[in-house]
Amino acid sequence: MTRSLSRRRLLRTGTAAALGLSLPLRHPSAATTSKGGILKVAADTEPRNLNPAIVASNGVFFVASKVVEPLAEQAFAPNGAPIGQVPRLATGWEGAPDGRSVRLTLRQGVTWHDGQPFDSRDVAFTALEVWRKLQNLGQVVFASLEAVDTPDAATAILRFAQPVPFQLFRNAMPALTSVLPRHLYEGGDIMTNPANKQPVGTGPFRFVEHKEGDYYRLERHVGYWQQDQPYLDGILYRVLPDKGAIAAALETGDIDVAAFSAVSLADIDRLTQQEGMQVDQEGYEALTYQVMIEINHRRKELADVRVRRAIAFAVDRKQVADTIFMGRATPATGPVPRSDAQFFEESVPHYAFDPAMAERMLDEAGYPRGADGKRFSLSLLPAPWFEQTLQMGDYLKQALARIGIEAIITVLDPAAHQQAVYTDHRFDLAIGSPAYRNDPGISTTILYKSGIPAGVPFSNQYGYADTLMDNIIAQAAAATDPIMRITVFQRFQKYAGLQLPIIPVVDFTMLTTARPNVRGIAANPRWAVSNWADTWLA
Amino acid sequence: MRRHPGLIEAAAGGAFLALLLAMACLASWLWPGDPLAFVSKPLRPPFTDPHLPLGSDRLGRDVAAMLAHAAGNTLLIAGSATAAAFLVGVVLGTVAGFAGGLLDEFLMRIVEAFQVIPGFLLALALVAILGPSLPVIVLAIAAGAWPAPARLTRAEVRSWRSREFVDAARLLGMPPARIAFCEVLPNALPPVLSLIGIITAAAILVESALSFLGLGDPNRITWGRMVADGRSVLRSAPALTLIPGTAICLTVLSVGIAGDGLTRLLDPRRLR
Amino acid sequence: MNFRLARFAARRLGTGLLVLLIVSIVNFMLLAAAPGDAVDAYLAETGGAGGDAAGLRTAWGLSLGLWPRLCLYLSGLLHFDLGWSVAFDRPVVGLILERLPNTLLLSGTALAFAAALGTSMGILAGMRPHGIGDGILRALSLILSAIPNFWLGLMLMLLFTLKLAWLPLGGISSLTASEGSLSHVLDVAKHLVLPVSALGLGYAALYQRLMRAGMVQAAGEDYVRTARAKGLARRRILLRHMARNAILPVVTMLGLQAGTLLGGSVVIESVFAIPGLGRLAAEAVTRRDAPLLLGIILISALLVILINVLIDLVQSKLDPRVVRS
Repeated sequence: MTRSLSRRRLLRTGTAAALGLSLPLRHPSAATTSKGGILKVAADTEPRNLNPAIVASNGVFFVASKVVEPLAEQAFAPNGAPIGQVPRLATGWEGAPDGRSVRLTLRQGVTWHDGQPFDSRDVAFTALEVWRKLQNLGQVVFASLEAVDTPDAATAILRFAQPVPFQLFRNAMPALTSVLPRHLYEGGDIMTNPANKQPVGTGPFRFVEHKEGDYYRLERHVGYWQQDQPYLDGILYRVLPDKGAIAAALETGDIDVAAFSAVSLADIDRLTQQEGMQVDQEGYEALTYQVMIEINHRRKELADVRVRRAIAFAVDRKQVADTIFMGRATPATGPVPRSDAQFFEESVPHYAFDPAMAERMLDEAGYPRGADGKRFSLSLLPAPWFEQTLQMGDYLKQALARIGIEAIITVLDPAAHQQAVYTDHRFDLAIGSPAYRNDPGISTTILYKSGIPAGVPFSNQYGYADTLMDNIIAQAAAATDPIMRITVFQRFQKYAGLQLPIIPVVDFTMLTTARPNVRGIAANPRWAVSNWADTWLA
Repeated sequence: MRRHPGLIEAAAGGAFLALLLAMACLASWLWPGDPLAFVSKPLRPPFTDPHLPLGSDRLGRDVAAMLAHAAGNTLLIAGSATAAAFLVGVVLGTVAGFAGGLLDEFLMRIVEAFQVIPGFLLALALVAILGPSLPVIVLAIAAGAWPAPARLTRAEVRSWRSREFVDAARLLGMPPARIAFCEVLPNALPPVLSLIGIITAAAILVESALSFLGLGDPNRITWGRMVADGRSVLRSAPALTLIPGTAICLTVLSVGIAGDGLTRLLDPRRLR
Repeated sequence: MNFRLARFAARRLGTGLLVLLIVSIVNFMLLAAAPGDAVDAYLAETGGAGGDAAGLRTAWGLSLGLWPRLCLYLSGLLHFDLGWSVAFDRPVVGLILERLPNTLLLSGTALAFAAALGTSMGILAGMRPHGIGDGILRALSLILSAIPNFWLGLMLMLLFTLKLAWLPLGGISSLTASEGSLSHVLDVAKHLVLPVSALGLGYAALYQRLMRAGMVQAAGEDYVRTARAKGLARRRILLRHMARNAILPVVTMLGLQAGTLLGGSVVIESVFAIPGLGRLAAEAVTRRDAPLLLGIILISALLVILINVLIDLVQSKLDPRVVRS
């Protein structure tokens, strides 16, 4: 683990050459790469809709990002910070000072997998019809998109009714701007288009087939715009829903790569020590998740900020990181994870583990322990998204029991959980794991802003409404100056820490486990959901 | 031994079950508090620490405590499901067997419908739809188990209903429901009760399979859930799968042989 | 005789259809009882992408009342339309037909394996009742029938795949050989060894006990005594006379257990990652796909009915008295 960390640092500072070729190079050079081979990858879910322009989620990107490309991809900056974007379908982007338009210069000579040429009209169509209207995240960021001008085939100008910070737009490009072929989608119902399951894109790999419950098969796109890429002949995703089976399949060589922590953390040490597997925590810098205690403010006790703070004091974040995540998570201090150097704010109220303090605060708030030792009883709904969110539910139940709050766990399937929390508000506490997407404006402020109608998933359905919080968020949304915007988000983090409408517990990223011969497994901060054009097999 | 075949086995099975019951009762005294509490470092191997005789699991929970607490939950669920299955099965079987005619025909088609639906799939659907809580799990297991006692009760009741004492009761003006349940049923019941062992054993297996698939009550620990939790670290810590699995086997085995012994003791040919 | 047999089969099919109707109604009631519908499930999966809930509900015919929906459901069944899978966005029938062969292969092989192993062990045990061999076999069968099949599967996997690396981990094939070739057949067979054992051994134990009981009973029958008195060879008496009669209850049991076998394949297919009907059912549960889950139940019930009709016919061949009764 630490070994591979230092390796990348060495590479970045240019001393790699001195170390020779024995290192698994992340940025292959012509001398070392070998071409060909099928990369076998473990897939643990099979999303129903494989269209990344509609469903911008990591489950979809995992397969679809190799086929359908965004305008730009996230890249490591030279100093190692996970910021900056590199061109994919757009080669240049420029925002107007007033935040009302963005001018995109598009790559030329690109063809879709069906042979049709790609041009600015594809971008205009996808932006107006898909990102703005249908996409889960785009509905927020592109809400005020009015028109897209296409003066020529290589230029698209996005026009907004309200100012949209250019910084937000840039940060949104990797996840929110997958471009669809207009000639296949125009004129029909986008949601039922067959290309949502058999995606057609411009990416380095062509979608061949999906055999449900069995595999997905992608094949090298011969006419890819990047000369000599991709290196692989194809990618085969084997559907393996069980972690134990995935670890074993890596050992037997049935698969080469398991991304998104598809291998149980408990198996990691054995795999690296005995089997020589590569384990990499990098390549997920822009894909951080947070374990979050979601709170229903409609419940009288929880509407009291002292009770919320008491809960925060009752949770031992370090123990959560050490046991549930086996040390591969960081205690969280606020709604922006530490991994985001651009926006992260350190000086926020901290709630160090202190059950005695928690008990005092509950006593003060007027909730003494009853004759049976209980103060009150709450329902607790851990989200079924990850093994760890469920385990966090078990942990929180015990942590609360220690301070005299009884929690009764209900585990629902994903659909029922979503409905209970985000539509019907039938919960007191819930455990969620929102993904942080590069910019608090994309996926974070929506968890704090009031006035969102019931039924919008992963948004403030907590009954929390605070005028000052809403003002801060409105300021950030209108801040076109990047420095000013960062300052506003610092205020946002401090105020969120004070109010604790929801309680962040730990930041965690995923792990990639790969067989020794796989190269280039953390080439960018979104590696698992990027296009893998430069991944190869030694 | 020859004179009472099965008696020794039945006694052994019963003894193990009694032990299990004792363990279940003593669990909250020997291991007070929530057995799901994170009490130690994760993945401590068994037999290394006197405070954690069976080691700890992936989250640092005491395996021995979980095992003991799970015994009670398993017995409670399996026992309730068996009782529910018998209650429904015996009542419907008696009604069908005693009434005969169209009602019998209708009830038997319903019994058949529940027999052709794979019991485990039905349980899966019920738990998935109604949510995993103790009463739902009991209902789900019983839903697949009641047809067998229903059929057997019906057959037995039919063989008894044309006896003289039934006719006599009728002539005395006894209401049919009372004849069926107070006169006929007590005679018809013994062979039906011999199904208890098989049905309880099956209930334990179905419960553990549901828990294994993650459809157990999240507030209760069961052996199936322990196997499911252990599965993701099968290679690194096989004991976490081995221990609860062995507990299931031993329990099902002792229920099975105790039930077998009971069957032989209740066998009318032996009672003669 | 043939005419009688046909009438017998027709009568069995008739009651089977009635049973199927009851199953469908039970099914529909479960579907209607499910909290949260297909639209909720869909929006949960897309993270809210894809438009408004009310519109989707109208489009998918979910805004109607209970009775019209029951009628729609039943009339759909007549056209072999089991509804639309939410999780896979495809007709349920197609999905089921795609996965059915793997499940039939798995459970069929397991059943054949269990019947062959169980009956032969039963004959062995029944040859010398109360002998040492009988005792060992009896203990073995008691233990085997007490092991939960998913756990047996995990333990076999631990031993034969992870420790010894003799057999593949899971799946139905390695995707390397072209379909239909001999190497493909062998590959599939290798993949089936562990799941078939995990699923079949418990049933083998049961058949062993049934077969043994039948053998012991037959040994006391007059025709066997007569055969012995005639001086027929022991082997011939065992196989021709005793086993032929002892196997009848085993055949009956095969039919009764078709359903539990399909249920068992849910867990086994999940353990061994086999893309069959059982794992489809488990997926339907986690992805809240009630139409799919209930479609699977209906098809399984249909399958069980057909198997039982078939078993009845086989039995009437083995024992003509069945048709008359």
